Amino acid sequence: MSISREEFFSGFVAETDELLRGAEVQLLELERAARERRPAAKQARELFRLLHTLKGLAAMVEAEPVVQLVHEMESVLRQADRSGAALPASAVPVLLDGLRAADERVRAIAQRREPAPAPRELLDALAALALDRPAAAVAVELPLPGELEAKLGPAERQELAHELAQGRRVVAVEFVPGPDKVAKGLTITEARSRLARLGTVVKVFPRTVTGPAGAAVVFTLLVTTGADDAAVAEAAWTTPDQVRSSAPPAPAAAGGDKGPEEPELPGRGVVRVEVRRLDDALERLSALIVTRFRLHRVAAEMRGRGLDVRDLAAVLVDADRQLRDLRAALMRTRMITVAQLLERVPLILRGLAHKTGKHVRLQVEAGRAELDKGVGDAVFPAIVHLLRNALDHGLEAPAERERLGKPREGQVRIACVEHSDAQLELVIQDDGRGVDAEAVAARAGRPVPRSAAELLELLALPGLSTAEAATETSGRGMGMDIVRRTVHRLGGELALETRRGAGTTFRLRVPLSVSIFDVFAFRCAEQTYVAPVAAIEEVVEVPAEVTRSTARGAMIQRRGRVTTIFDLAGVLGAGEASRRPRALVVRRDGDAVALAVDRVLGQHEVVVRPLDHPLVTVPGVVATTDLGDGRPTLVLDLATLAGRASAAPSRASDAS
Amino acid sequence: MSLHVVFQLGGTDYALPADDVLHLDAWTGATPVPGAAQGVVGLVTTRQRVVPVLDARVRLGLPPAAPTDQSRVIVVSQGGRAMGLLVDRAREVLRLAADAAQPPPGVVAQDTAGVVRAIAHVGQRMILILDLRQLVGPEKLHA
Repeated sequence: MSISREEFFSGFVAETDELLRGAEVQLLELERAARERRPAAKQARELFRLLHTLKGLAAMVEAEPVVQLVHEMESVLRQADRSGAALPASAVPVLLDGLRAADERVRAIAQRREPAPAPRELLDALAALALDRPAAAVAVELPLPGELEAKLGPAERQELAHELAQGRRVVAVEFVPGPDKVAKGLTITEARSRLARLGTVVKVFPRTVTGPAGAAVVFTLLVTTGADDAAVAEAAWTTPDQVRSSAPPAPAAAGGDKGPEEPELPGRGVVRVEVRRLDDALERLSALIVTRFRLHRVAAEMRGRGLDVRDLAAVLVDADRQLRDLRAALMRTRMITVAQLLERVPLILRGLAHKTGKHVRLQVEAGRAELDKGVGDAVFPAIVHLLRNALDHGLEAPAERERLGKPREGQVRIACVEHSDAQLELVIQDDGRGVDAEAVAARAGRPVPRSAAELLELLALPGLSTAEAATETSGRGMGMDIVRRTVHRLGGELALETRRGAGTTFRLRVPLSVSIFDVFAFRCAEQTYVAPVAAIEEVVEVPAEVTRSTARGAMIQRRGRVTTIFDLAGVLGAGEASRRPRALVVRRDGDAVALAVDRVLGQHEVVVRPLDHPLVTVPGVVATTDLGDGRPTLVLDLATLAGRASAAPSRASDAS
Repeated sequence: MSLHVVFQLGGTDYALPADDVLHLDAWTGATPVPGAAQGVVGLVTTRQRVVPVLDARVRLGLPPAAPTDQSRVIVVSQGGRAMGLLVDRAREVLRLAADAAQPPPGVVAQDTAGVVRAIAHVGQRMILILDLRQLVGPEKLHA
């Protein structure tokens, strides 16, 4: 039954990851509450719930170290709960260490490695926090065979005793995975969450049984519930006679004036979907969009033959609109909030502050903005990098800040602004010392930059580092170039503002979603290419006479300003340089550059497939699309090509 | 005995293990990718996938030749990725007996840098069995 086990593992990893993140968030909330001396019972309960679920999951994969760690953390919280939910601030770092240790072990399990044992010192540190130890084993009648009952810990026994005292039943039910069930989506994870709606899943015991078909994993779920056997059996896809219970169902009246309890339905109306499935749906939509192009082509041919296609044209307009709506609906399913994206930032910053010995106050203004999950995942490492830079190079040490008359605590602000052109601007700002342009120039061996854009250019030189020594967090070199490349790859832009002594602000402008683009199609050297409309500032006619030629290339007058122009074919190495009548003006970090082409064909909405085969990895050629002829058309990253042209004048052929 | 896809380049018979081959396509042209690795003729769309196509002639050090209506693209799977090989002709699938195959003479092995894995004799014909990994493997990509 290796299928069900695989299936189960992937669910386990996704779910524990979510639980661990949630726990981090609650823990930091608790820390803040403790500092500000306000009660935070809700957060403590939520943290307890998350940890408890995590423990149950970990027990399912027999991840003993994780169970141990989380169990000790639960004990700390139980004590805090008894003392009025006031978790001492001193407990937070230990609990964070606990989460981190659990996280490491979950990752090991995800990679099918044996998790390391729980660190003794950490367990001891946690135990030292949980002073109020529960009494020794509690006697509970359980519907379990002895060997399984022996696996219950004291806290679980206590919990069971508590539940029984509340008039709930303790039932044990078996879940037998099988390919037929997997095919219907009926996995142990699903069974567990269905049972969790009926009550509390206290423990899940996996067992290996050997049958005629070989070894299989069977799960025994121990549940406390108010529901009857039939409901429990249904939730686990079995028959009521397979449910064993410890006590007869308590009559509703026995619960006193509480009445029958509503089963708790966490996350009702929310479906968790693997991104892979959404991608699959998008892929199918892309086929439909290609078909639409073909339809348009056929209609145009019919019109060309003198046929009346007015009715067909009207239907096509409808189909276009519906396709656009469908596309928008599908794209919305992939959106995550910026707040979700930035969930981990407080923890990361806390770790960085700890390592650098600097004091930081974080301000996050995520608003209600949303962006595509794929864009979020791609841009997040860049955000973390900029935060690291802010801590390492930007903010001064507390003593220095005091001397400068600044508050000891440095400010780091992350804000986001949604632009009407389907772009999102992320602002990462610190109130540190600012970038020392002269020092950067000296280190790079270049002239002192005259503008922020030039300074960014220098900072983005591969391998440049301004820190006097490599620091533990930022390391040496390797930094801004990667941040900028990440942003460019997404079709975005990076900008910098900095003032000596006052701080540095980075602005990352990224599209809200990437899979479907509006593109311009154009011909150049007998080949059709497309480029995102968002990257093209304007399409201009190239005057017969270029203004003048310099070593960097030819120049044209545009809106009274001089703009460098390159022949796109020359830049691509796609053919002989010749005079081309049109040019696409793109902006590369502030500078306008014109790329000459033969003809602009028009605007299309296309689905883009990334091009990642090593045989065709070429800077500036990022993806392919299908314009309806069944052949791949190359999607160009014009900003990168413009950069390549500017950097290598020998390849940039004269456009005149 | 294992199945091989037999193809021709400049009058010589070559073969690849059928296990490496996904399917065959007629040659209908490719989209050139300026700046791509040596021997890449371009990209084609095949069965919903966009794959790069390598000119097998270039890889085997043969003089280039213009494709004809006999030309075929052998779509192969290498290192988990699909890619195409442009060949002059490909029409046969043969079961080549292990005893008909013998290691290539040293000079052939040297000339083709390990690309020819064995030589099979079928009646009067001599078929060079190629090692796909050597032919298109990553170490060859930027040769």
